[in-house]
Amino acid sequence: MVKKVTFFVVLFLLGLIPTTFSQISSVVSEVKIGNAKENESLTIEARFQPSSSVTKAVIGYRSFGQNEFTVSDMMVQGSSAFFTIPAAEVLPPNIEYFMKFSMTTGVEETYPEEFLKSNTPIQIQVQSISGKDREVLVMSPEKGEKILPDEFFISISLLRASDIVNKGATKIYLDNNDVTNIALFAEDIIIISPENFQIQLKDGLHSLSVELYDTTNTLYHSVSSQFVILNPSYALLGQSAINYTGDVRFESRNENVQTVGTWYNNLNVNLQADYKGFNLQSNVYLTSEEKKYLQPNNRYMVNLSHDYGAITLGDHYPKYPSLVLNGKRVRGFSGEVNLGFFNIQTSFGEIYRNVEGSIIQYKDTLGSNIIEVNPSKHNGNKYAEVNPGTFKRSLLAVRPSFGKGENFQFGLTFLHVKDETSSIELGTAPKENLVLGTDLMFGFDNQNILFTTQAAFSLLNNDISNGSLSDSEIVATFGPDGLININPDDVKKLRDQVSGLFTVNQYVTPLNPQKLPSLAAEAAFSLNYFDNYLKSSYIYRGEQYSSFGQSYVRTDVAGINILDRLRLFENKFFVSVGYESLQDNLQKIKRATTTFQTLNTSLSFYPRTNLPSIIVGYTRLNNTNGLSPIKDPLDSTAYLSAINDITNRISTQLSYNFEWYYRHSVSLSFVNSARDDKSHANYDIDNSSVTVSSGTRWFDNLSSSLNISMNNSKVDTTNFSYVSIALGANYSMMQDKLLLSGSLSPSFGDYKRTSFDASALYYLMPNLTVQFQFRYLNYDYTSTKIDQYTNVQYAVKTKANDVIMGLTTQLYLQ
Amino acid sequence: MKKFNFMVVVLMLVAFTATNFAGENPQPAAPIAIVMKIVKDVSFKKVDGDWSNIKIGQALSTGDEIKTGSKSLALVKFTDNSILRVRENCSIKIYADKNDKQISKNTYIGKGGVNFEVAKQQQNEEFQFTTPTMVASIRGTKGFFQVGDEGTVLVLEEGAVDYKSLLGDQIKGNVKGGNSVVFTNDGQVTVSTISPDQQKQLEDSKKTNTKKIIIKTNQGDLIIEYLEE
Repeated sequence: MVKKVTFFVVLFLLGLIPTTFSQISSVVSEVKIGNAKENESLTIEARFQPSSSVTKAVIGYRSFGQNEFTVSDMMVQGSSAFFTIPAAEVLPPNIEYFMKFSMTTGVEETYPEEFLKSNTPIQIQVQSISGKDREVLVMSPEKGEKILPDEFFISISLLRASDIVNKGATKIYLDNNDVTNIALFAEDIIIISPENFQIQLKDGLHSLSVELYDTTNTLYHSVSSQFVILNPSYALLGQSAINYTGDVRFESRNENVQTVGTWYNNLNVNLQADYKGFNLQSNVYLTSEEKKYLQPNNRYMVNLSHDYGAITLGDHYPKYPSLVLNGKRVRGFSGEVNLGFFNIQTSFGEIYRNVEGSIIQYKDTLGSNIIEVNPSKHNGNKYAEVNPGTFKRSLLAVRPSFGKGENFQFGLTFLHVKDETSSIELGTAPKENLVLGTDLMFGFDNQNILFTTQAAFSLLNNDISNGSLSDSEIVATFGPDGLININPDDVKKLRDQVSGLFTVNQYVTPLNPQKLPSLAAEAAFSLNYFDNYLKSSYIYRGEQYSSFGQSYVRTDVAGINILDRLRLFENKFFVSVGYESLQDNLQKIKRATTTFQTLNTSLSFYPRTNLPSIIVGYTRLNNTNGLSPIKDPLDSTAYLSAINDITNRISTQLSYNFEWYYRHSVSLSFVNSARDDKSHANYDIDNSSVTVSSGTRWFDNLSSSLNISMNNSKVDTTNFSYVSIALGANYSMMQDKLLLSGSLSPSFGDYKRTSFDASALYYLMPNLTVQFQFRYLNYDYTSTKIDQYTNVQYAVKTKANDVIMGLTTQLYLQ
Repeated sequence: MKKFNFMVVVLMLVAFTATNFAGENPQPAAPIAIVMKIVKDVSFKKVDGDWSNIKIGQALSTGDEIKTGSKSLALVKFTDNSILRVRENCSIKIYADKNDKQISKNTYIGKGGVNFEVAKQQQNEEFQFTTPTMVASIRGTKGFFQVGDEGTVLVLEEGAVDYKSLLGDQIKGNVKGGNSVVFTNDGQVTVSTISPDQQKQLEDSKKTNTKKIIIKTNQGDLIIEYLEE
């Protein structure tokens, strides 16, 4: 039965038509994204170019109107990186994201490539929960419910169904089988009672699908959900038993890339269990890509939680106020006690493990990347040029808070991160970071009125190898006659204030904390009434604010952000408007102040009648600092420092599900982004893409999809145009024991590539599958790359035939 | 005094029903709720019918009554996704007034405990609870009623409830989540924050998990199902 459900899910996903995004990149060949729907998790897969050697991938994402990106590690598996955005953060009208990759060469690149320059992420349109979804209520079994066989029955409420729905024509499918004929229709309720239900459902996962038809007998809407039938022995044990689920997945894959063959082996074990209100979650991921000379790729995690607290051991991502610690992987311990009136949360562990550096050659004097070494260990040599290693970086965070967080909460956060100088021998500039933060929230009327604020102050030391300075060293280093013109007494005062907590020397920023250059703060107020969500916020980020617990905080900006999201006509029409105005140069150390203005708008229409849904978005980014290379041609500083660019982005997406002999889903999307740079760099970018997608369900066991994408980019004076076609199909046979899928995707134009994917998944047992996957890639193109710092262009030629083959087995436990 | 209370409630419910159905042709009442789960001794009565055992999946219409025995439970879900957990030794009667896609509901609790999770009500909809001592109007919230000889206790977990005492000075008021209200038989109304005992009672009232014991005999298996303590 499980296999039928899986197949049904495959068909369902096909109906969603995954979206493929392509941008010019020397790292990413394509990005695969599922259909983004409100409050449903969204998986993003970045597939790498064959020549890329990515060691680490991170993703930053934010929903409409958010100031900051949430940055998290992506799971790198061979030639792809994956990340799933949690359901709660998938909100209409769109999500913006960027990715950052670290290569074995030490080079870092972003996707899109121009992100660091233009600060323009990629947008994904998020489809709102359809008003139609609210018209069907599956009362039993509920979505995700675990139910005993003798308690199973189906009941559906059509109380809220539209007047154009013919309730009597509703069809119900259980595990893809039509069971409508045994249903009892009683006005707003449809019931399939246990006595009418003769099919013995096996233990495990099952699916339920409901199709509504209008008065013209045209499909109006459909909803699907899944539930689990428990083994009857579970009831015998009752709540005293441990209720558990789990899965074990093993993958062995060979990638033959540019004539170099590499085997990848991964084992992933997930286990969830609950017992008398306690919930246990654990994950072990072991991979052959684990290398001692890299940061860990293996993952281990155990989490035990209860209403009043939780403890986590292993690799996890503790969540504290976003300015201080969020989205950072910690290998160690986190614990929290939540009493309501008082709560405390703490985390400690390492965020980087120690990786020893290597000696390039011995030297006689100090210099760049030349460090002192112990002569007794290095044949009397005092200095060596090294590839510096990575110090073990340890983290400690504590946050006591008062209040449950429903109506009130006040919290204080302490974060200390320090490189352990003795963890490696060949390293340079170990660092230390101290952050003190506070946060406050008031919520009224179920948080329909919400006020939140947080502030944090940081100290960063960029080199603690020699420890804190003594009084005499401070006097010698600071002052009008010293290296740094700061009152030595202020430095002594700072050192004494943080004595024992933090190392104070000439590498500390800020050395003038009283001027608050390392303060970050924000406050937000929101109202959520009459289907209108209105939020206004103010942010302040000092130029020198730095937290090692937060990978991406945009610094040296302050300003306002206003967001309004309006739902009209029973969720048929959505209007979203966001406006942000930020300014930099907070410490007045730049010649000119840049103003960053962003206007974000989106209109979404989801008709209840048999018409396409439409999403239209417009974004305008305007950055200017008042300097002009034309007005001040002889002022070289003004010429080089001028910022004056405008980016206009328009996006449209039409989606339509209909029946014409067979079930079809089609969508058309158009995106145009044009950046007009009036500075001396004249870094204009023009990017357009049109994508047509369709999916057809021919029979219960056969479906197909077609995706045509036309892309045209112009960066500065370089054009890059190509067309991609993707044709795919899924077929099941042997009574759904064998699931076959395949796709062919040729690309033409400046980007020539052909890929062929095939997969065969076979059910050895209902809860045990084995899957063979094959991928063939043929590349032949030359792309132009622009160094993001020097603007120098150079060609990158890629030509290869690559083959990837993999075998995966998966066992589900219940 | 008790007789007087009973008469007041009966008159009110009769008025509610008469108002709702005045002028309509007698038709089989449309189902407005489903019995999702039963444990041990649960019986129900249709309007003009007799008491009989209830089964999972039983549809309930306006005027239907449910009563539970010792250590028993009935879990009722309405078509708007509101949930009632009818605890042991309890009797309830449900009323509904359907107007297009809106249903106003009134649940009369004669005695016993009922945990409720009322889904957000639409405009022109409401969910009322009536007991011998009070009436409460809810637009979307969670909590627990305990009706006994001494009166009614409302423990409100979240949201807000408008209430009115039916006795004495017929005091009206509004209470928010985190508080409890005691309505006594002499019309007194006392609002206070939820006590630890009430909190435990509230948590216990949510429990619907059961345990089973099978005793194997020569004549077959004897299955005993009981609620988790």
